[in-house]
Amino acid sequence: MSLTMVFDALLILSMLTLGWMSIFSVSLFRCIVFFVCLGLLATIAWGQLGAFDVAIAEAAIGAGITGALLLAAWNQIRPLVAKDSDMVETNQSVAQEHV
Amino acid sequence: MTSELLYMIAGLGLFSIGLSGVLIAGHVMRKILALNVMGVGIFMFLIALARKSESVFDPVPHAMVLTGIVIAVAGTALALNLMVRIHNIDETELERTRQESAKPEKIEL
Amino acid sequence: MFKKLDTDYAGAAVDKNASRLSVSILVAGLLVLLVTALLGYDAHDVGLEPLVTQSIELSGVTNPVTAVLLNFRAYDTLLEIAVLLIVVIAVLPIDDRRTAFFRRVAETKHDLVLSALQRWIAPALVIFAGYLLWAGAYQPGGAFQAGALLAGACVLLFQGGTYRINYTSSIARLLLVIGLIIFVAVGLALIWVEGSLLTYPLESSSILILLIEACATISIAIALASLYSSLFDTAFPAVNMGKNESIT
Repeated sequence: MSLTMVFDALLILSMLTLGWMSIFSVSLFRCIVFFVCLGLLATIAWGQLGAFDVAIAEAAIGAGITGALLLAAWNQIRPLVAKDSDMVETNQSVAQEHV
Repeated sequence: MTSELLYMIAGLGLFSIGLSGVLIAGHVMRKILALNVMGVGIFMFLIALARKSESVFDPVPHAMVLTGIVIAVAGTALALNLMVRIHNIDETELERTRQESAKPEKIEL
Repeated sequence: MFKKLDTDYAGAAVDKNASRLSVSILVAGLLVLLVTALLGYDAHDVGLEPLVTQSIELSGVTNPVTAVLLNFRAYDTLLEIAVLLIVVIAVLPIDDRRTAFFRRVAETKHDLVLSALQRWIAPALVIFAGYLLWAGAYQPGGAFQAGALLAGACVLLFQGGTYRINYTSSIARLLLVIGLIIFVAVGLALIWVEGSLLTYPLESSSILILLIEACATISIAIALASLYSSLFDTAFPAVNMGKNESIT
């Protein structure tokens, strides 16, 4: 029982950290990746809480489809983001490809 | 302290993180992500509330959360579309439209 | 990013640190308030679990979540599918309505890993979605999960820009609304037969729920796929303008 509690506490701690990082990370791309990770951890949490229906839906929608949507949208606003120096990692040539 | 209570408090914490993100974050995409984080917090609270013991749970909040997940992704898609559209508005086009604002014209998005 | 829209508005004198500080104080206060309220509230022995367990026999399925979603609170699900449809209509990718529903456009780049993934995982996802739909009656699973998995398979197929779905074709329109149509039709027919909206007769409730779930699965899958396409397709203007001739 106490081991489960330790697991729960660790899970919760990492979820809170990921929640923070998925909003306030330096680059938007990292934010999105952290948000997908948050979705996957949420899947584990729902399983831990016995909500297997919700866990399946969260894995498919929360982590999968939402992540794909966010990445597709990020792909579209990328050039300006690179100009705003919000994105530090994208080099200009990659950004130009999609203009 | 039971683990359900722990999860409920964590849900409130995620909600607060998301709320502060919505209020503080600069980029619109960060605000959308923050809204989603808020959603995850609320779902976590509801599911932890629904759990009565190891195997007994209240199915009504689970159904609500399932509905909520689908609605959340729909809302996210709508918000992202609006974000991309606003991003793609040409500034000169906007200025021209503003000058001709006497006769309202459809902005070509 | 809204800077360019800000031409008329000179902008409030915003001190970023001050706003951050005030927001964090406010949110922390709210959090403390909520946690105090939570600790003072005993959530046990409330809820609708006994009610659902009592009447699960009447619902036609044995999975309580499916019973709540499709029987006890079917209104929620009906309205949810309607909301999803409204969002899809708002963002629908526009295409020539006469072209085929599903197209395979000329392959611009050949990615071995991607095509192998598409060949192996997409069919497996379709089978698994069918299983989830069927299993939803008595164990975790159901229309939303199956629809989301099918949409995931569609998203996988869209990668690389080889396969496209034309959401403006009449088949796609039919598939988008079929979930809502069947749901409303069953509900209205039940007014005729049983006297009230969405009250299933006991002997046929199981098959009616399966029918509604199957149609809802298709609608949800294609709706989620169209949400993805609305953001994804415009990234490939060449494809979007219809420059590539369709093969099939």
